[in-house]
Amino acid sequence: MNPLGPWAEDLEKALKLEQLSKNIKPFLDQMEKTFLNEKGFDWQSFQGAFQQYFQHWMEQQGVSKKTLEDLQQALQILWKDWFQPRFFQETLFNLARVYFLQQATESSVDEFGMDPKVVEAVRPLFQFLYKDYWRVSVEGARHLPAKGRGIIISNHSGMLPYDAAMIHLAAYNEHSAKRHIRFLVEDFVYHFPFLGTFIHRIGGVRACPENAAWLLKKNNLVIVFPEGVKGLGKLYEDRYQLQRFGRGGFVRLAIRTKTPIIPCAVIGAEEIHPVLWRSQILAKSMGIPYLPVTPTFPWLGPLGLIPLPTKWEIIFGKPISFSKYKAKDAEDDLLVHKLAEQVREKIQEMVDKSIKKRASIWF
Amino acid sequence: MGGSILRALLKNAGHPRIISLDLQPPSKKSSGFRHYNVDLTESHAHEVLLEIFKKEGCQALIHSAFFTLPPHNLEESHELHSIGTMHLLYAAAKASIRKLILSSTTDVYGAFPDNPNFLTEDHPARGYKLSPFLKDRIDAERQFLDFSRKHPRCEKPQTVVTILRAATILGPHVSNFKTHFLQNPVVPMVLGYDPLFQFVHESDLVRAFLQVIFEDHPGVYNIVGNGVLPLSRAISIAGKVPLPIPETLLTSLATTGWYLNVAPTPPDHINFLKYLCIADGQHAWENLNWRPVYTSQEALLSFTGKTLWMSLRAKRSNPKIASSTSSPRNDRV
Repeated sequence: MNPLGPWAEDLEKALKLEQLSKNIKPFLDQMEKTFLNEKGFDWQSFQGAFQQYFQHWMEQQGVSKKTLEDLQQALQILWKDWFQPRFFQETLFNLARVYFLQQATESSVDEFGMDPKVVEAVRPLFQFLYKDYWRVSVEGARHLPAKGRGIIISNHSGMLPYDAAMIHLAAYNEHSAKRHIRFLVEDFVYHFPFLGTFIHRIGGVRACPENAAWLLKKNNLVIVFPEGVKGLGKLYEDRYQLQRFGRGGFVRLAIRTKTPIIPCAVIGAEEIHPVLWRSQILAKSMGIPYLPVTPTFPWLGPLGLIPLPTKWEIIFGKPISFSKYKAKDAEDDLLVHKLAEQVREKIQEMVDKSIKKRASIWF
Repeated sequence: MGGSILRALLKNAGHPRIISLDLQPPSKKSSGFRHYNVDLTESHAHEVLLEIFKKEGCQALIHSAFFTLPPHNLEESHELHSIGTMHLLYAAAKASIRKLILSSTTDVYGAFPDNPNFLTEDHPARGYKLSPFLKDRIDAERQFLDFSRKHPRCEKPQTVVTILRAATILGPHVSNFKTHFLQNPVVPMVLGYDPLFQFVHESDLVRAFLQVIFEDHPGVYNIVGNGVLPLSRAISIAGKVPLPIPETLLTSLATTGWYLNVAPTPPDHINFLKYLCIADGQHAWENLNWRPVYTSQEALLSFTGKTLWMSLRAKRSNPKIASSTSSPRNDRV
């Protein structure tokens, strides 16, 4: 008699607990007999047996052996080529070294908070994204100046500023001068813990006219995304449609500091996070400009932040010089707007031309 | 700080007369200057000041009568910072003092996520949004600027109003709430944030004060050392243990600590542990004929007393103002 009463007995029967434990007992006994030897549990033979059983089960479900082998091969290739343990170990080890073994008396960051050690540590990760994940091809790297200042103007997209990192690497890998491009980032990233500090350390600078002017004064190459947050959170249906170029602040800057502008088109970045819808009410409560909703985010949580492996192309155009304008012209709002529009059309043209040529977004 | 400036002035022979105004007489007996006990918070303070100014024939005035620790009693702080400055300026106008120098801090800009990396003197001082302590400092600045507008330079005698905004002052003899913060064995940080910090050495600041006393430099100047340091780095150089705490927890801890008189600052100052507040010293370097001897990092090393050679180096480059003794809590020169 069950101490809880007759109904508990009924429940037990209904759940067939007794039967279940009776069924499981021989299975566990069998497992012990086969895999438990004097050295302990034999994982290797267990794995082999499990694999055999799994294959057998798949065949029973009607999956052919050929498909299974293909699947296995694909997984192996994925593991070897993309998730090489060495690569992850390297990155993790470097990051750990940077954060835990800092020499106390050595000066580390530059005036904008970039730590060269952190840059070196995360470079393998971004090189992996550049070479294997997005397979970036670069055109017109010769248009980048080998020295002296310059403003790179580009289209912007992709939820997080991956495009800035890829343009940085494109200049680092493809140009002989191996220049370190500084990029200006929308200030909302600095509201977040970890993200803001990380972007500072890898060389990001908050986007504002004062910072841009300071960087150009020190003869840096600077990436500017005049589309700003509007571009970053572009809807999928608006992809490759360049948004309004702010109030043309970059033109004013270029005229005042006599800096050439290098137009740049990034193809492929606009599909890595297909934004279907933006929620502004939710975002406001979180202190961010928008909350994107993609097929994977926020449904899969942090996993939804993994970008899609599209094929990228970065094209640098011929430098545009505003040297014929005087500093006084920077006050002329109409002229500034017209020049900004010209640059926008130039980049739109480059984007359209490249999109016509490509066959698929994946290859 | 006032004590250091006083001693530096005394060493620069040939200067006619120095008087010091303070709540209490100076802790060390020294000759060469006269001392008056004045309480700026009294209602008739401006009459007392005017009498002293007229009697001594004052030419220049350095105003640094501010709490170095944010006070618990906000009314008292307001009385001293805002109303005290008002009394001082009334008396200065009546006694037609030619030169007014205000010692301020770069904290008045406030630490915000939308600050540019380098704040110039033109940038609006937004620290009032953070804490009433900074609000009163900004109010003192505003009164000085108003004073210079009311008494323009073309008037006779010309008035020169200078405001020096110093970054976090470090050095072997300084004591303020930021040195208290760095002196604890475990230094709290906000989890996920590691802002850049900037320091200036006390002897550099004293030299800047001497510069504006002996030469005319009207306007606002940021007095900062070269270079910046992340907070985590500064803590490791000081030989302390950084303790990252989630923001909400740290805020409640700081609030409790503040009421229990353990924490050095009220929780309003937590923004300085999260965001940038770095000033651009270019204007002072170009116009003051002054350069910092110590970088931010060297100032920190000097503060921690780790390196002897650092003080030797300072003595070599600047033999007059290498040594100064401890400064009392409230100084009025």
